[in-house]
Amino acid sequence: MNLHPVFLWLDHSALANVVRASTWAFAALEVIHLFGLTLLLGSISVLDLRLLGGGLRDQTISEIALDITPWTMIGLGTVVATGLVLATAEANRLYESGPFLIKMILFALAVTFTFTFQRGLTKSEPTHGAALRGGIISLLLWFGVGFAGRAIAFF
Amino acid sequence: MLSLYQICQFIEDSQIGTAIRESQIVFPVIESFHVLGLAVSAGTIVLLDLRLTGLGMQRVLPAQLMHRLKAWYITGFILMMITGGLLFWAEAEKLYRSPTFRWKLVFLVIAGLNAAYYEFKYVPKMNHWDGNTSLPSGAKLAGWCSLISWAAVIGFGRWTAYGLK
Repeated sequence: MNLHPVFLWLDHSALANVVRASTWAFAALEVIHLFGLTLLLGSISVLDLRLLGGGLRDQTISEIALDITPWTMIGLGTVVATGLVLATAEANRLYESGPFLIKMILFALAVTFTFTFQRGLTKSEPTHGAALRGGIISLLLWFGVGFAGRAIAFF
Repeated sequence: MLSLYQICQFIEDSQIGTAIRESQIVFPVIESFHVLGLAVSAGTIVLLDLRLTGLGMQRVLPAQLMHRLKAWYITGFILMMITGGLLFWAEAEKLYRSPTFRWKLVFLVIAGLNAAYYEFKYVPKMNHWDGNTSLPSGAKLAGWCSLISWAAVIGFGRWTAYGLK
């Protein structure tokens, strides 16, 4: 499936031109992307920490998942919205970028995992083994997305 | 007597500063840990602030959030200081000339003072706050001050990296 025409179209779009023409728009979007990332990774880290048996041990895993999930979703919505605009403004560069491809694959896996596994946590307490596995997978996937994202700028 | 600017030049031109700055892997790795360390440091504090301001995290008591997560956010902040220090070592002269970096430092100090104020005024009282009592308005204010100042640190931090020449 050749996505090159899609990326080219995005790169030439009015939105891309508006963002690129502005002196501050790209930086502002990146800052908001970072706010979303802090909320997303911060909330997930605390939940995963609990899954691994640490952190907020006075609550059940379900209770933590219930409290945390709204904030994970707000963080996720923020990174997706800003990410889409940022990617549009740099579409041609990102098409060639290895780290971006890795980031998107990890992101797809992370979102799928979070929407299935984390949703399940709000409904019932997991077994000890499932909690450990889930916590580790979640941390690896989400921090993988983060590191791949940083790598885009450098490689 | 050396000026602060000359000291920053000296730091940036040092062997270690230069080695970090010109490296293929070391600088990107340090910078990545600095950015992702946000999750463990500011990200955990945000959850405590959400509780203090009443915006969320209602199933956890403030005392529990503070004490159960303390080891983690302290470790997170130590990581931020170490990676931040190394990044500064590599680019001290440019950072000296950056107005946005100065604003980042201003808000770091504000965030720190707010944390110290909260530590002395409210931490001793936290164990008495059960799930039903409304938190003192000073504690809520500290929560808002924390959210705003950390957001400013992150914002000015990113803006600094963007404008560094």
